[in-house]
Amino acid sequence: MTPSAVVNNLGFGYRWSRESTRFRDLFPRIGHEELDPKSLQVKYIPEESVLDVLEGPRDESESQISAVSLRQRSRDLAVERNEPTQAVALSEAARHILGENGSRRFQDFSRYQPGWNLGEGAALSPRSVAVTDSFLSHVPELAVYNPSLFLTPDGNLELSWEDRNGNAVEIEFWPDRIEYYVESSNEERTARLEFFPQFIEKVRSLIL
Amino acid sequence: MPPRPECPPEEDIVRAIHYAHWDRSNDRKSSRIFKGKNISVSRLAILNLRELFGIFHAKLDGSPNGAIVAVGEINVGELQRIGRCYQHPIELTVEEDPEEDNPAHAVVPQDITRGLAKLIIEALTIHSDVRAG
Repeated sequence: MTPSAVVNNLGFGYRWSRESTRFRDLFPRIGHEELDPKSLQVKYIPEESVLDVLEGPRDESESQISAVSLRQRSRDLAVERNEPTQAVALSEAARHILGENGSRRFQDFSRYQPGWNLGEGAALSPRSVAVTDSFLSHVPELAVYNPSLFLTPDGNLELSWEDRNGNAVEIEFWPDRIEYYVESSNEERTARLEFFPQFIEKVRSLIL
Repeated sequence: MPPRPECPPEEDIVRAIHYAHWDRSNDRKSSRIFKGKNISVSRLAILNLRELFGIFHAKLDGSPNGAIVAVGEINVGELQRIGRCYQHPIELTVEEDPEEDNPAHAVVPQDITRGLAKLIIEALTIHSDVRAG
């Protein structure tokens, strides 16, 4: 069993069938008529992404990491569209990585109301929380880097830390994608959540 | 709508920094302080720091929405120099955009990337607000 599979099983105990773990099934596209006018999250136009052209997951177990994590976390958090953000919480594994400071910041962010930054700023997105939590649960090694937690104007959580050489790494967790900046390679890209396993491996390569 | 007048390079501007974008415990700032389009700034030629902090406090104090913990100051010409010297050069401008509750308000209309935002943030002179958490 691969290390990631061990973490996966420890966290969630079982696997979902491949058919049930397609991301589109987990987070169906939101129609424009359903838009929250204060949210920019569904106005996204996909950008060119290096990870978009990567080959698919190397094996079935890896392909299930993101889907299993996201689905289970969504259920744990009872995450549904328009759900009050008070219901959002991070797992113990995520809180451990963020430490006392990051956990306190998360609690603060969860109380923010729309317009929190001088009239701008969406409320914390439960789906962003679910994606962030899943990411952290799969990268426990990140704890030694004391990552910082931020809330973006779009209501997403963002992590930032410095790699082994002191270069910045910054990741914003959107409900449907990940935006990241890696200073050492001057990369600034977007990755769809279908490539969550590859993204996790990429992050691991920066911190191990 | 007529084009907004551009602020001259001699002017100094400040960008409000919210608690959510500055982890002071780890001394890290998010690129979101300057990333994106139409970034709001304030012109020190119109209002001074004390007056600006007063405006920010009036908007946030007493709410659960955190606080403006500092402002980052930069000269317009320096901002433009950083944009021009970036690996993907960009001509940055600061355009007047006075608001009813902040006559010093202005915007940087161009789309600023994370990488460029990091460089701008590094160049900021930080003025912390001792009253903010």
